[in-house]
Amino acid sequence: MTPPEHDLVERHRGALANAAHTSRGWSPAQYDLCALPEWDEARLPIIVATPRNLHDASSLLLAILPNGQLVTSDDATAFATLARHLAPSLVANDARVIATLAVLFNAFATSPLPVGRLVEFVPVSRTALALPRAEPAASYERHGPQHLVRFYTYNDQLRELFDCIVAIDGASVRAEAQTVERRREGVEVPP
Amino acid sequence: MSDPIRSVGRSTPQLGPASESGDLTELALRVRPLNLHLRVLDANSQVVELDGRALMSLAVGSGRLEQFLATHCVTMQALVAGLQEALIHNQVGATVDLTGSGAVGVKPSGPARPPKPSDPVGAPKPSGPVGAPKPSQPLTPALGVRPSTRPQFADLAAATAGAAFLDHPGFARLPAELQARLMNQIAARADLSRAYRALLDGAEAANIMGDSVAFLLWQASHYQSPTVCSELVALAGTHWWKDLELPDRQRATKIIAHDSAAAAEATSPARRTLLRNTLDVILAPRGRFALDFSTNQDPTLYGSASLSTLYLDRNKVTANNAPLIGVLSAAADDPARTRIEAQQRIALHLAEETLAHEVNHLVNGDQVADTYGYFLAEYGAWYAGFVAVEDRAPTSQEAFNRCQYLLTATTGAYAHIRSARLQVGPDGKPGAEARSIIAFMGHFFAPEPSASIAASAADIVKGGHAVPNRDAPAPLTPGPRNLDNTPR
Repeated sequence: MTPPEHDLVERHRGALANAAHTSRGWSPAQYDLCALPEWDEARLPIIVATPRNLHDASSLLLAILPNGQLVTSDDATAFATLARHLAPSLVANDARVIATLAVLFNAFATSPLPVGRLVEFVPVSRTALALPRAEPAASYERHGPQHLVRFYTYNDQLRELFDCIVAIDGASVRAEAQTVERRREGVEVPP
Repeated sequence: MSDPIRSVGRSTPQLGPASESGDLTELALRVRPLNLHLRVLDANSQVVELDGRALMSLAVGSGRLEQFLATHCVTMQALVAGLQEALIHNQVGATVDLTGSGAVGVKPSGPARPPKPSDPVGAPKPSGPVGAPKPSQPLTPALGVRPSTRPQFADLAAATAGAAFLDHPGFARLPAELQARLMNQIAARADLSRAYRALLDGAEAANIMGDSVAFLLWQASHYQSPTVCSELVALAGTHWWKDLELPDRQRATKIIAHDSAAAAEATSPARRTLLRNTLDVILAPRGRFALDFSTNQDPTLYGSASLSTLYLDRNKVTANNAPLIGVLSAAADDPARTRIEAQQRIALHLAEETLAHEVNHLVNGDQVADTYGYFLAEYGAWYAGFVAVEDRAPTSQEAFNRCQYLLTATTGAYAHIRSARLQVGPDGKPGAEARSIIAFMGHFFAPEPSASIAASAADIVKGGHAVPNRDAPAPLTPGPRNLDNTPR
């Protein structure tokens, strides 16, 4: 029996090949395709194209909207497009979904800060962090038509934590981040 | 036809002693490419001519200028005015005539030379009415670089070495602002003059010309270190550097200069050895691996390695002649400061951590695969990069944080590590690669997770896990692995 993710890739292989060629100039022989792991495929199918020559570039992510439109992670407005698509059905449990999409589809590309890729991970650090929220999990709030998602992302290379917020309000999608400051060594974070 | 010798003596600006010597240094730099001749009377009232090299020697030699002025009864004002006049007319091979009693004039010996694109960048072209020279301008007003005084060499060794450097043909071809900067630096440093000259010699021997020589000297000037210069000589002789496009060559020069200085300043022997080894394996004469640049769409990707080449993300280092890490002048609450600080953190990480990390992959011959071995390869490369940038070994907690990222990545090469962690055997228990990963992660747990339980594959990557004895040194990779980038 064909695994569902394999089926997903096969159904869209032609469109994916076009998108990979348009976005990165890749031929099908240059990359491998797989469904994004640990992801609710029914909600929003996402395919990962990973180059075989890994020095070439990073993986290219391709989200497939219900109308068949492909949104690639190289598109500067990719996250806004996906967020607008999901907005009408957003519920509190979707906070992690939005946070994950934000980092995978480069919502913070225009931020001057080196926002990381690890979501809902607050490191136990040698130096205490001035956390604005105690819980590492992403949180969701709704204020009228506006959806607010707050979450931490960790840049494991620079070992820096960022406090991120995504605001979705109709057609407007805003993503902002700020560095979580370090407290002096030995000062404990209040619970 | 008008007299080709014009008197400008009366309109000479009155300059104070300090600015006079400073002006002469600047002027000497600017007129030297014109192949100027200075005509004066000697003690026997015989006319003698001095060429541009002798003029430069006057400008920088300790005591020489005073002796020259006294011997030839020439005032400083007259000398400066004559040189300014020559510069105004931009006359190749002109003769500055200082033989009259206070009169100063310029006699052209050929047609006026139009400005060339190759003229030193930053040297403003004089303009204004003939006979009314303006006070000299700083050479590079935008950068604020200007020798405050001509070099007063501290001793004979410094003077000799300084003259040898300034007389190097390569020096004359450097941009004027760089010449001025280097001249300021060598006054008291015979070792620096020799190092700069060796750098020019090295560039010449490697057939490096034009902007690339300036890239090397600019970076050398930021660190003022013979050690950095010798690494830059090695860089000039390295094949991959010459193959790079100019902007990437500039980026590579910044990185190598920074890392050379960092290696010299490292407080721990481990970091010093690691950075030195990292440079050795990519620089001539022993370098086996090449450095190149790529453009990454993923902002969290800094570099990669493949076969014998490592690739750094060119977006993370600006192609210019500034030092990799400069002094921040913006106020703490200035938004521009946040941006610059972030850029500098990223550039620093690329130059120190990423370079050492990717070299570690190359010296160990690592291959991407869904295996425990590749997990250890990434862990080991991270360990090496950590030491390179932090000047200490990572703690156990820091190592766990890194493993968390490696073991949960869903894109890029690290996704293979995640696959290895999630391998399941025919019996539904963790597969062989997964069991090895779980066993290694046991370093970070008490009690250690069982490698034969399926849930352990998820337990070892739980967020927020506080490692027991978290400040203890991180575990080393089991088995033989080159962690200090020793060339082999």
